[in-house]
Amino acid sequence: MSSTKIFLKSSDDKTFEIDETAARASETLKNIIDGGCLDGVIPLPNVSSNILPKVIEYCKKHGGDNGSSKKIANGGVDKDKEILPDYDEEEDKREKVRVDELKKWEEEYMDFDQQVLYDLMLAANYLHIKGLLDLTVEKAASMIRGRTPDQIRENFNINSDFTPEEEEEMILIEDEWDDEWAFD
Amino acid sequence: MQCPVGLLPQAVNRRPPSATSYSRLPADSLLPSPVAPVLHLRYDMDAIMNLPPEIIFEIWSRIPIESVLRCRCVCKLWSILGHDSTFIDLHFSKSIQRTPRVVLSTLPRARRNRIPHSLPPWLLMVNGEEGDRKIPLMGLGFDDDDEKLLRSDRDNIIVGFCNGFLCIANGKQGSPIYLCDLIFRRDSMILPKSQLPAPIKSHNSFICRGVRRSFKFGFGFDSFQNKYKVVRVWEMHGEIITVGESAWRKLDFPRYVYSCPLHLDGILYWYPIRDPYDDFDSILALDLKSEKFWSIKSPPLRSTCYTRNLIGSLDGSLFIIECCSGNDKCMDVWLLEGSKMMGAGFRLKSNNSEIRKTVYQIHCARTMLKMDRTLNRENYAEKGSDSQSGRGIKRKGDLRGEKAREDFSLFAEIQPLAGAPAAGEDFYPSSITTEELDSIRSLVFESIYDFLFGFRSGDSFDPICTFGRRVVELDFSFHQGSIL
Repeated sequence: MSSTKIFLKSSDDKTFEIDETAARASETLKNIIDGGCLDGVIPLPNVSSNILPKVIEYCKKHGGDNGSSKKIANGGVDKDKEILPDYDEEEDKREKVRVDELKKWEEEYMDFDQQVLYDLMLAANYLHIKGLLDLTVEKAASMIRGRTPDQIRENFNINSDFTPEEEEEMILIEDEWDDEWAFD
Repeated sequence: MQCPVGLLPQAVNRRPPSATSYSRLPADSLLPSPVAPVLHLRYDMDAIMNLPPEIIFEIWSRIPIESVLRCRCVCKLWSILGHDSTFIDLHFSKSIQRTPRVVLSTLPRARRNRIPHSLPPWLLMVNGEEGDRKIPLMGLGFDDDDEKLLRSDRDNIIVGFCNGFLCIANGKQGSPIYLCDLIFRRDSMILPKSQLPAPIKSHNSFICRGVRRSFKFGFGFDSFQNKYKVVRVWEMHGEIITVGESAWRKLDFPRYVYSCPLHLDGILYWYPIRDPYDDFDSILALDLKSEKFWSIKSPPLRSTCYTRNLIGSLDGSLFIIECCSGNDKCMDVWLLEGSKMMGAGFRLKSNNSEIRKTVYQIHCARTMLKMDRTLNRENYAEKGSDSQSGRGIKRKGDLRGEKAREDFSLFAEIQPLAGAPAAGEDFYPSSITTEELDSIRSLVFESIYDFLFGFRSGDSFDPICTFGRRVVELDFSFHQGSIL
């Protein structure tokens, strides 16, 4: 099904094409479209041409289907479906295949370096693409969860700007929390 | 960069309005204005530092609080961001939807001369995200002198736990009431001094005996007004304070109360204690929002010398369990149903297998705690002064002491209610090994991940309190706004 084309202009003046249905994955773009302010090209001064194709790729996959990213976020479990007394088993199977496929796609999609991750987060936040924001933020969160400060610094290339004394004090606090306890 | 804030969820304010808040940490005003992101810098080492705080907050709001605390040690900017109140509220409101946590205090009530303080040096936080964790009861953000007093006063007890705030008080006149910010360690405060006169010797010598001659406390959170409240009562003379206000207000109780209340969803429930002067037919409830009292009729309990009663909360409802250990072993579970103010009544729910299972698990957990406590006490006796620091306590292997046996008999008594092992089977664990005990313990802790429960029983009704009445099991509300 073909639909109206929309043109997006990146911060460095490059123009990209996107289907209207795909563009609607972004709340910001949706509002612009619905607001009738479609005047040829939509300028996106906060998104560079490096990152815009990546965003468009996501929108194409998820455009017109706001529910799917949510399902992924819930680990593929559709709670409504479980409650419904009679649902089509075939339909359920197809849905499962679709979700699995989407998961695989997301895995491949998320294979990029950290700078792209940050840029995508910013773009997703700016364009109000909840699914993409969830995806990227979750990836960053997984790099922090359960790590020590040193590991976090390493993961994100952060240089500690604390003085040795401050560092010492913080290690003490850390120890307090991490002290092995007889019943752990 | 104009970041649309609409995507970020609305934060619920967790902090009490602090009138006398201690603050050793950077003030919120130090928070830098959002840093403009430089999108074309490809090889910036600290690229994540260019992200605006909104994004950092969004990331942090998805990780457990322990990880956030570690993030604060990463660099100066993150240290400032990690203390930001917008973020703390955001994390709180998000964590309400996460796995519930339970905080357990497992140390025995101090035996005078043996343990230097009555409060445990730490609490155990049970949670599914990063495993069990010990939270030290020190470095709470008070002045050194206050903190010393908090830890050294043997009569200090844990009054309640709510959204990561721990209320500690003691029944003596003029003793300070502490509100400890257990998680963020920033908004700890001491409540204003009360105007209520000290409990006097009443004509009723029975009541005046022992612990009843002291103040009882309740601590809770009114989610409608986003306010924490503390109630202090002796017999019928009560007063209430909204945390953040400068003075206590008089609160007349409609009847005598001798026990500490259970807090559930903005309501304090006083369960009657077995006492000729207490009104055993009803439970007194106080709505923290309206500060109005009402009574709920007690279920028709057997109340014989063979029964033990427990009051607690399950999935946001109040329940009373009556366990009979006499000739006719049984367990009745009464659940409070109906609207809060009007027409609430207890209904017998014993046949509901889910409830039985849950109650069984809670009971097991409590038995475990009791056991831990017994063991800890043995360890204390063993270790002597080493225990002062709370470090280096290791469990002894020998579990065959009389106390442990008694605990296990309780465990065995409950076991058939869950369906296994079959009734009549001898489950008495005369020679249980440490490994076996460990596996039972981990099973129990795993099972309580699934539930949020809270207990505050009437003084004489809690079987666990037989040894250490002052040891309190708490349900950790930080991750369950609707319950505590």
